[in-house]
Amino acid sequence: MSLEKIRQVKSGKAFKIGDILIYAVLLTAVIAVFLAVYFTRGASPLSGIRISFAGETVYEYDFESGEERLDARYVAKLDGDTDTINVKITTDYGYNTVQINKGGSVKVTSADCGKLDCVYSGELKDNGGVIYCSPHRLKIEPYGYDIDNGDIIM
Amino acid sequence: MKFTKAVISAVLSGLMLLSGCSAKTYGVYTNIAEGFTVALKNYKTAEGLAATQTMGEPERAGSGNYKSVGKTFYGVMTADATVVVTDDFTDAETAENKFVRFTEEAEKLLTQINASLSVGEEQSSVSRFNGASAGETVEIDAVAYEVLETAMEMYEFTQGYYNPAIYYGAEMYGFYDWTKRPETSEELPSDAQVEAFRELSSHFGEVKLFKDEDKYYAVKPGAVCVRNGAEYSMKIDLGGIGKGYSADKISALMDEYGYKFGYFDFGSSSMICKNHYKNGNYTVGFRDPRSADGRAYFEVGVNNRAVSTSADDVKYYTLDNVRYCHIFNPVSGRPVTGEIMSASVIGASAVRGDALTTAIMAMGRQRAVQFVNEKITDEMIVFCCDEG
Repeated sequence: MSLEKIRQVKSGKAFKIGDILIYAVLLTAVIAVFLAVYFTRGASPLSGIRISFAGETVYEYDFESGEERLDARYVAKLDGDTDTINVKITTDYGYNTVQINKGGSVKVTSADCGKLDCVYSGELKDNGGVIYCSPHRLKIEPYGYDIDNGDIIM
Repeated sequence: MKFTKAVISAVLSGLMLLSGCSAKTYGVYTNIAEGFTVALKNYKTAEGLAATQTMGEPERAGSGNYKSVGKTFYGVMTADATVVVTDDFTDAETAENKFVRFTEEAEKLLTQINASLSVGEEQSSVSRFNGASAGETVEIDAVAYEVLETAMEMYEFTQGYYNPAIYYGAEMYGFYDWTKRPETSEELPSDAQVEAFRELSSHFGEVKLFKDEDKYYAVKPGAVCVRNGAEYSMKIDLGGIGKGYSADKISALMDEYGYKFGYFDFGSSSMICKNHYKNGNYTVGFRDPRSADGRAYFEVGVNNRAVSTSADDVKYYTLDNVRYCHIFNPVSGRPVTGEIMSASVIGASAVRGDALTTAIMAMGRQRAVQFVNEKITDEMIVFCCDEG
């Protein structure tokens, strides 16, 4: 390569405008895919949750009114604070502790069910899914959850 | 400049990976002609199966106050089963009472099947067969008779690749008691052990069934296996097709109650799809067996069919980079080790579909392609392979 060519390369810009445009388009496309996946799931914010044991409702919380109902045979209130409610559901199959964030979310914080799928399910923030503890026959279901939306994964 | 470009490329590649585009590709084999999508970029449709199968037109609900209701039945054959139906609730009390009656009957049916086929219940027909001596005649109930009859038909039809008598193999590899699974390759069963129990299971076709008045009987084959001074007679596990059998019975009950809309899901491996009240078809997705995020690699519209799936990611362990899953190849006597990762069957019968998915997993790609092209005339088949 001649010295003249090397000087030309050195004096050139780090990125040509074409490179920058291609990267910008690619980056925008990838971000758009992410946004589409995360924000078009058709779910609504939680308005309330229902916890059932073997099909029987044992606890309910309405995020809009702040009202709760519990079946004292199975559910005990634990310490909480102004933002959270903690309940422990105990049946013959074992226990699950559930934390309700009054801002509109719910999660299982601990359980003695072995696999802990319910704990690893994470936080429920909309009515698009349920938290399920199969060994304990426990289900946390949002108000307005569509049990038959036509999509099945197996 | 080169460094900056490399960083940007790495970031973009990372984002692409997170979006589901992994470098490794898998082959998807299907005989479905239309109405499906290969939903992940790292899965590619592969050549091999003739595209012969199409889905019929679904039905949608007309005017009315349609509402979906469901019930889960827990701990049936070590899994949970859920039924969901959509009905016209204009007369809510009548619709609710009908659903209660339906679920009561469904529960009774599932309990009866579980009591007959369970390998854990001492008094089940299957346990009594397993506990009997070689060559002994055992009285079984009508459920076990019907399921055993189907198992024998499918054993013949799949040339032995569906075989419920691989019980000891599954036991040796720790699939009945997870705490007993081998933790190193050295702890795996020896070739001699595997071969001895494989040979015993190969006598499954010699089981004899007969009826006498209102009673049902099975005659256990006379073959035995002797290991370390102990004599073993054949044991069977019908759980693999028991879920499909249950699904077929619940499907018939749904028809009896006039439920045209809804589904029955037994452990996410056997399913009945009627019509979806709004969409007509259900969009059924088969889970990517190489990812934990639950996304489907294949989606297809289904109505009025049974759907069965077997996959090697459900119960498995890995030793020295070899995956040992709960599905067995009866011809080798060993667990299948990952050529076909997942197999699904859509057809009229869930019990038949359950046997076929297990057999296809066991056959491996080449034999499965040949089997489907030559012998399958009515079912939709989908399977995916690690192409290496």
